Amino acid sequence: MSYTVLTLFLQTASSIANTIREMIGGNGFQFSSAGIVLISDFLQVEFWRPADKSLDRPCIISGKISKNDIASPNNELNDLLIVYPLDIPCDVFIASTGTHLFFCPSCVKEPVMPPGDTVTERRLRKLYELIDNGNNKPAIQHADKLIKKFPELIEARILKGIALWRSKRHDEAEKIILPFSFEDDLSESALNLLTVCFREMHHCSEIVRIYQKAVKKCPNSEELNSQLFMAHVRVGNYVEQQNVAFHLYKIAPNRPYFFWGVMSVYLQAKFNKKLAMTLYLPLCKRKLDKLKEEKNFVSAEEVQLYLIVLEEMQDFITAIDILNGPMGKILEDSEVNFVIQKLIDYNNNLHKYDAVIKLCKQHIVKNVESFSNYKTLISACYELNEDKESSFDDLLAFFQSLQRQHPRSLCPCMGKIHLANHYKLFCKVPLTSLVKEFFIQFGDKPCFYNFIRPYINCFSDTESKELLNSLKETLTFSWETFSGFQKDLKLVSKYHSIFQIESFLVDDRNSVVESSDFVDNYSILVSTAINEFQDYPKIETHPSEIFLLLVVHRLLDSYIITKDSNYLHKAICRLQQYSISSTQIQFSLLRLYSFIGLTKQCISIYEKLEIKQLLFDTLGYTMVNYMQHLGSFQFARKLYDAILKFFTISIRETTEYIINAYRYGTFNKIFEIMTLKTSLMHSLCYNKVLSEKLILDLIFDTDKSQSIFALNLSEINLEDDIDIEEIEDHRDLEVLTCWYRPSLADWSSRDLHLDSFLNEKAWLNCRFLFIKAFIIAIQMFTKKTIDKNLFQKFSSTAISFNNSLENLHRCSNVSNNHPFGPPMVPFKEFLYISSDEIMSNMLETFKMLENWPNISLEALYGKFTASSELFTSAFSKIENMNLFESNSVSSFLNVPNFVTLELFVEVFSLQSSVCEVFVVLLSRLDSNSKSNFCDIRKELFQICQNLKNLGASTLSFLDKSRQMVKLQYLKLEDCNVDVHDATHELENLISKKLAYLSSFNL
Amino acid sequence: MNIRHARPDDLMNMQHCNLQCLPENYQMKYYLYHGLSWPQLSYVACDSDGRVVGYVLAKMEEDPDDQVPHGHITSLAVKRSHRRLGLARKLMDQSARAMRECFNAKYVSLHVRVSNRAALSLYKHNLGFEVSDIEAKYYGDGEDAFAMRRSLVGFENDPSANEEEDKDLLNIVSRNYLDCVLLKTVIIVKFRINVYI
Repeated sequence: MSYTVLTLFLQTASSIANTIREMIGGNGFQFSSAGIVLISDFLQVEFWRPADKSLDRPCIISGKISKNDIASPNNELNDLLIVYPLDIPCDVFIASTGTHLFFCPSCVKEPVMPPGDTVTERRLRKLYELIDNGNNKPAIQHADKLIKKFPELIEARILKGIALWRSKRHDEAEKIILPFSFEDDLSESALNLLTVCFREMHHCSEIVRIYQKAVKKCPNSEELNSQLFMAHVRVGNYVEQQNVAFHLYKIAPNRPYFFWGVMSVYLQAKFNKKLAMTLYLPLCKRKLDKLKEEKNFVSAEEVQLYLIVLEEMQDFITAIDILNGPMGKILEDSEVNFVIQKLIDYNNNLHKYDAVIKLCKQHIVKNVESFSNYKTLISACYELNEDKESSFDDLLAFFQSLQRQHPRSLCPCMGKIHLANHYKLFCKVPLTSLVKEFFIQFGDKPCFYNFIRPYINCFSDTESKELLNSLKETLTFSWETFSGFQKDLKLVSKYHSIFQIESFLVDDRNSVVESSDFVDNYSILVSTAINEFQDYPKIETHPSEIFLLLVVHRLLDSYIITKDSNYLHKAICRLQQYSISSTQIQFSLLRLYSFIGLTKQCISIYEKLEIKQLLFDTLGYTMVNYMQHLGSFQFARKLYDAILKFFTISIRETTEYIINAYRYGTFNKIFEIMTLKTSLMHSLCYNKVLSEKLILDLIFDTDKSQSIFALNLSEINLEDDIDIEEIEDHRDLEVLTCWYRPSLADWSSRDLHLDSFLNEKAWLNCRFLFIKAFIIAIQMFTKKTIDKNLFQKFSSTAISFNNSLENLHRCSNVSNNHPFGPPMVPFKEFLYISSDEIMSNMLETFKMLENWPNISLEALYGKFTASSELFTSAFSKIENMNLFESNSVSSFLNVPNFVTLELFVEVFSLQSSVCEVFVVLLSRLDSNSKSNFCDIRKELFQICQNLKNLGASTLSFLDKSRQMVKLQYLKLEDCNVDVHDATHELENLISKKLAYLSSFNL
Repeated sequence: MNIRHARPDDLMNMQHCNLQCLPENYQMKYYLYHGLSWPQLSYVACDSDGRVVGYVLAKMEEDPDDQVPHGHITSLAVKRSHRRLGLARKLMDQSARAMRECFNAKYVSLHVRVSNRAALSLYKHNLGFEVSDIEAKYYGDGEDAFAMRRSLVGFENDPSANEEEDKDLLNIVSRNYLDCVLLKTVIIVKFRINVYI
């Protein structure tokens, strides 16, 4: 007996009603909004029996479907419709179909238990349970027993492989699992288990291989083909996805397969711009047009896919027709305001401004808070109307009527300001008066200042003063004595707004340095606000906080102008003495501590702030840019490991989300998740940490006299280069509130964030290419003969590295010295000691080894001499540096000088690894040819000796530096800091490198 | 201020909203679990430049003890810089409306720390929630939680009771978070599926 089972997972009353109505041909049922209530209230499952002889019309039978209902031959079921609302046990499906042909949300488990109560399953049950509960060791023992008893039981062997992999016994697991890729005759359960296993082992291409073999044997198996499709999804092979999906649609003409195919074609278009408009997108459109003609669109996701294709083709006219037609109705339930928002966007793209205006007004009247539509409306009116003045008047009248209807809404007021700004030349109302009106109504809102800032940015001095005076007039506050809060929160919030605007608009920083009035007055405000708002909720920003931050900013301005570090010291003290817990204060301290090199303090605050998971991407820079260069190597490695773990796991997980989106036909989500994946992969933080971690590994893993050839350097994907242009900046550089006016303040006169990003990219490119070339070189020399292909790759990477240095030189002129500005990128320090030339020289030395051992001794001598000279010259520059700054109040670490020293130690460590390569090559040469042996050894001995001398001198320099300031540790009087000896880890590293160099047998 | 559905690429900015208010630091899969399983229920609030300044993360209770379909507010936060604009209420209303329309939810529940008087007051007085239970040691640090409920019957007809300001940050963390982080990589998606067998 065969059934046609339709399973629907629907969520809206209307979509269920429509679908059922279509299915039963409109007979007998009236589904309304109440229909869905009925369904989910009374029934767990309903099934409809059109051929039930006892009834003359289709009916719904209440109750849970049992195995007997379905299996009983007396029921004579031809078609079975199961409406699957929310929470239904899945055993009914097992009963009806014997297996899950499709993913069943109620029984998601990994690994998937094979369905049915077979002998094999009974034998494996305990093993499954052990693995599922994480008891890997007993699982391995149990698997061994099973394999011994039933050697033909493939599943037991695979499960043993899984248990071994999960016990971190990777080599043993791979030995068991990988041969299965070549097996031809695998059962369904074995295939499922291998999928789980290969996925964990990150061998997704093997999943494709096993399912390709299985499909070859059963080309018409729907299950195997759908698994093969998912396997292609995992490796991102869109062409194969398309082939399999349309093949599936042929053998089982089900709607999802059709859309899988269309989506696969669409994805090819996304990644092949050349053929997108000529081949892929028209193909998608043709297929979807056909479906449209057949009136065969059912779900909102399907219609959304159609819209996505049309958007990509810029066919907005068809897209508008769809939204206005019956298919638009399908979308209405999917997302609030989806249809109208899309109509606005499409008409805007077509420059149909009259339609945009009509739709925007219609939408704004219903949703007065949708500010983006105010902006669109204003732009559209400006574009459409030649008579700007009357257009301005119309819009002003519209916003004023909205204001009357919604007196508590900010948007009409904000709309008027945006309007005046947009229609500058034709505006009859001064912007200052509109800002004043906005201030009177909403000046107490915390967002007031942030909203108003871009509009007042270009105010002249006169306008600024006029605005400030008009705002101050509205408040009863004694500006001379700074008193009058009277515990009125709204009033104090308005003061905040005025003070912030004043700090932003009035450029009196130079005068403030001479007079401490500002700091004193605002300090009074801090203590007044603390006293007057003692019971303020902890989870809100305390009214005193903004006053304190204004004080701190002013002290930092003074530091920038005078370079007197006493101001930094005062700023830190004020922040530390503030008794109220606040993220802004903590962040300010974190940035200041890193600015003066107090790594121990940074770590302590960083841990309190709990910057982890998603925050790595946006705020990781606050630590990543400092810890390594400030000599806190152990913490840097810990931090890098945590960051890399987050990124690698997240990137891997996105694939599973994409697969599930295919399974459930949520096509718009597929692209959104792919965008997320790409954005994670291109994250500046991720790529930076990846390259810096490799450099640290290379330096540290050789510090126990371990051979560089024994290192596991497989983490880097040598096939791929970082496409530096694709790198995305996700750093939140505005996490700290600042009041600097870009047009006036010197330090922010350029687009600092963009400059900082360009610097970061140049630095990343240089570091990545160097480490890649270095690792290829080591891999190249690990083998006894030099692989020409590998050498080719090394040469091209070395050339790219040299090119990247040119860019680095260009960037080095850009600098920022503000503690709250974008974080440092140590170009100047790097170039000051000629690290670029030293690194270049290392790669060129490797390059000479192409014809090893037949190399030109003269050339090698030249490279060794150049290296020695470069190092000696770099060290002589370091010798002239002061590591500590000293003045009457505090002693800080001189961060730029310390970073220079750290970079020197870095190249020093790398050079010692270069020496090791030669030592190993010489030891091989010893047994083959003696031709150049003695001469090369002599040169090598000389350079090692030179390095050792430099290392010893560096240690003595560190010691001397501390003695000179007569301080073993940094000291900040009045500040509560537990200082860390920044030089300690650096000394340790140098000592270990010296031991490493001494271990070479020369 | 715009309220729109949350998308996967909003995750970083949603987490940022927590930086200054919630002690929680969610994993990506936690957001995606909600966002992909019940995409209709989670919303973000954006400022005039389109930056995310608040969010609500919500779900349907998967296995309700009382067998009554209902929604659950897992997390809700508004940046301090954008408080007192009624954003929390708007986010909550949008989510509640979607719970009602899409899943026929009868009520929406949430948990709040017993010490969070400000949030408690907001739920009670502005958003129509009532305390239904006290859950002992609900939070990781041992603090008790008030379990609160708001009926959604008839909500679609009168979605917005008033336009008062949010007085405070909403600080909600669901215990289900712990369950969620234990979920393996497979994410359950239960909506809008057409599968023919």
